[in-house]
Amino acid sequence: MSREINEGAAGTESVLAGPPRVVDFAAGAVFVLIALIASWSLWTDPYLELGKVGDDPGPSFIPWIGTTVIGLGGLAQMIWVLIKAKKAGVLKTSGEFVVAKLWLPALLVVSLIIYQLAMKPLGFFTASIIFALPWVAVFHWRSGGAFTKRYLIQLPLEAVLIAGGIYSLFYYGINVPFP
Amino acid sequence: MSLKSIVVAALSALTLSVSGAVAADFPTKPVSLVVPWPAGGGSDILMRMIAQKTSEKLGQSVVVVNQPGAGGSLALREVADGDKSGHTFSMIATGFIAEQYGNPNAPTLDQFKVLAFVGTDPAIMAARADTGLKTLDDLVRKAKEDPGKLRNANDQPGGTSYVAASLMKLKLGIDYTLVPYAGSAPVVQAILAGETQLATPSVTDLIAQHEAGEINILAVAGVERHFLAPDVPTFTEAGYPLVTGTVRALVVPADADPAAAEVLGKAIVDALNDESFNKTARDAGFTITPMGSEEATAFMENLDKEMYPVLLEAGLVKVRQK
Amino acid sequence: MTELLHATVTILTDPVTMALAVVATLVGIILGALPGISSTMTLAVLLPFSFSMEPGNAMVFLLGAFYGSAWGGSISAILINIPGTPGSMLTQLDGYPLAKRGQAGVALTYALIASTFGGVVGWFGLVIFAPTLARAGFAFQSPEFAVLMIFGLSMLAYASPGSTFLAILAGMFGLLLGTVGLDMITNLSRFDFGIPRLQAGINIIPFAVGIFGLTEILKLLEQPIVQEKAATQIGEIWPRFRDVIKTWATAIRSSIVGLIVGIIPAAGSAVAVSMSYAQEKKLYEKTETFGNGNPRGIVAAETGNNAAVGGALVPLLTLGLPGDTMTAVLVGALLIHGLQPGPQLFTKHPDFIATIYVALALTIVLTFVLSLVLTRAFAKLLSAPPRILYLGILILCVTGSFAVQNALFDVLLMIFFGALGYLFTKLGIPTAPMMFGLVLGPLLEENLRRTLVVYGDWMVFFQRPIPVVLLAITAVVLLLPFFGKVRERLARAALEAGPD
Repeated sequence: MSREINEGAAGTESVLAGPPRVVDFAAGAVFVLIALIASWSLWTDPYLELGKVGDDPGPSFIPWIGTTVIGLGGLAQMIWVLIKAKKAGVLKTSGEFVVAKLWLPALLVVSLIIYQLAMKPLGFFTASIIFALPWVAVFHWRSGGAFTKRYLIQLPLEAVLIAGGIYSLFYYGINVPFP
Repeated sequence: MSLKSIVVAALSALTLSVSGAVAADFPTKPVSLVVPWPAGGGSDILMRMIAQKTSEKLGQSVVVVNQPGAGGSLALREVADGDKSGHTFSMIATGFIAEQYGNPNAPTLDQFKVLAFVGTDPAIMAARADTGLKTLDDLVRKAKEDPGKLRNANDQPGGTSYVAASLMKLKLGIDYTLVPYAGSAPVVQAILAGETQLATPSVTDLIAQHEAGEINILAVAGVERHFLAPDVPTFTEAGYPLVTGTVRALVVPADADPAAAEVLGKAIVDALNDESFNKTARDAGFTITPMGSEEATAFMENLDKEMYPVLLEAGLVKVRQK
Repeated sequence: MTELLHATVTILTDPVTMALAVVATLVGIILGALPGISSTMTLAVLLPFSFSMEPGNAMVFLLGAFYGSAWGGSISAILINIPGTPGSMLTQLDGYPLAKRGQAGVALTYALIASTFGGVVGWFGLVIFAPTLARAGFAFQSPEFAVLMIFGLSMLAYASPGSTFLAILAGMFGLLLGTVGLDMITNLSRFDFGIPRLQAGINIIPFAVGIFGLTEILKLLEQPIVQEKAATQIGEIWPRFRDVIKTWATAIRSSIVGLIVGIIPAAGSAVAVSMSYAQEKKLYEKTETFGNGNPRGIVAAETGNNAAVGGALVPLLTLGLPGDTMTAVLVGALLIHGLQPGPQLFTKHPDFIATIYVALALTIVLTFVLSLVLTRAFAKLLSAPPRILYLGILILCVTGSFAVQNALFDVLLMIFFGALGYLFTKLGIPTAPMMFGLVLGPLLEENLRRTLVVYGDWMVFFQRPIPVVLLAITAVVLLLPFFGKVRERLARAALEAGPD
């Protein structure tokens, strides 16, 4: 947590003092995108107008306020960064979005989604083991571990134990009905 | 690892393991009772009692599974489309009847087979003592003097208490504002704090305040007087025939294995008729009037038929118009 | 008083009762520490066991589990950045960074001391003021509630780390996330994008697990994992006495906030901690940073969370009104034993009320002692090899998200918010305000609109004393920084102009 927040704080600093960065512009763009998706959802909902009864401002009142603030705020952020960039003459890239950094997090998100999809057909336990086997190896490799003979047995064993342990705790302990 | 194994051992020691002789080829594994409400609510507590007793009668453990969301429609839809082997059953309540017409994603009554009827916890009409209202006639008089001025605390549109308040409005021929709150505790808070003058929860919610003289329960919408409030007349006795409240029934998918459904249904009805169960449930304020599958089905179909025009009138029919 | 003494003697001398209390507290701590198992769920799972107990023992048992789990949630929040219960979701903002620096033991002890302090204040609040405070809750009706939420949200906007502007937008986004699903007032669905599951809204636990737990791991995978030596050691367990004492004012303020929010029905622990944390952040915004291991943050969240336990029992025992879902389960337990909670419980069963008081006190003490003994063991979990630790956290993220509502969809939501949180942190958008928006937003909307249904007029907010005061404070809080800036600029201009 601390690191991100420091970076966030550093980001503000750089907007205020240093040269503006592409990520600051992108942050505004993300909010504009969110506002666009939200307002599309509100516009195309045929039921919402039915909701206004009497003095109640209706179910779309607060959502519209939120959407408007996010949209205009995001736009303001984008314009602000552009003005700064024009004044400073540069728009710095942060070096945050490079394949060398992003590929493993992206792979984890994809494999988590596959894990989620596999839970119903395969059952929670099997899906967890299949997920755990490669990832225990990835974490082992990432933290500088060597793949000596010993680990060829130890890693799968650990994966099964962790997945199995957590599964048993929830399933037998608290009767959580896993698929 | 040692910590974890201790935890597992301690927890397994706590969980019930019920074993017994099994007659037919049902049940072959633990049965789940899907409660479409969050853990801890009134229905949840009652369902946990029923699960405990049914597992004794069935000789197989019955596990309560809470799947809350969207007034119960989400879980019920999954049950209706899910496991047909009889190992999954669920409960429907008054709100379910309303949700059929309010939510396009909700399942309908004909997608279920009703196994047993649990009982009806009657709704009440309560008024703050400082309004001076003591009877339904008082209420009618006061509301006619000033239509729409009185406010009633109830749950969200389509909920049991909202439906009850709408029904009472029609039956009494008066008008008051329905103010929605998230559940029975905020409803009680609202009437006690004076944000509304009226409230339509269950007997257990306000009986203590009634006895303390802070709230007057004007009438109970039950077939007979409630055992917790023998001094309060029914709507029928007061001259406004009306029975409404939280109706609860247990269901399996309509196309579930009939043999399994029969075994399960019998176990549930046995459990509902069990003396010790009746005592615990009654102590907790629940009204238990068990019915078997056929009677229960007829009852629910009739309820569906009777409620539709009311829901239509209250503006709660948005889909599946008849 | 005599009843209290009598109850104390009865409970302390009965080996069965004491054994039940120890077991319940331990089970509560463990279940609370498991992500996705809230205090409510813990109670609901344990409730059937209490049916066959005597009423007094049942209360000792359930209160032990209740209080134990309220504290247990903080253990996983501090150690692995995943809140065990909604009430512990702010403990991790400062607790986890501290643990990451190799001071897990200190963070846990801080949290334990703070939660015990909060618990004790809550207990005294309950015992001394119960009959008087109960009615105070009634001062908070829909208009007061709506304004209280506006007040809380606006304090948070300025108190967030990083860019204030982006923090406000993130908070608004959280507010929007809070409106997803069926609307309370009209039962109409919003932002469901045709997905039925979204009608149920976005549950706080899959959201928090994703945006804190999963995001952290994604961030970690960017480069080779270097397990700092410090992190593998448990480190000191005892914080310096001097440092603990420094947070006394925070502890007292946050306990009072927690106690009051606990008393207000339907507010809940998530609101209690949000309010107390926001208050401290605002008060110390000039001198201290929050969100990277400030013990004050832990103290604010923990005292607020556990003082709310005592607070929540006030309306339950005096009015029979459960303040949240946890106490609703306790109502069920009381009813089963033939005790109708309400105004007459005090007059009819003073001995039983005394039993409840003693039971709560006992569990506060037991939680403290048991956790202190176990702190070293808990903190040791972090010295496991990274592969075991992180794989374990990942699978806990998944199981915890599933277990909240037994819904596979919640796992997907958790993954989505994990990825979104990762994107946001890379763009420098603070994520914590989203959570405040998600917690306080729905209450704001519901109460604001209900106020309009009831009173039919926006003017009501300016005609009632509490809303007027709160709105005035909100306006001052929001406008003060601007005045500050203007004054600075004027001063600077005067200075520059000075020499001429």
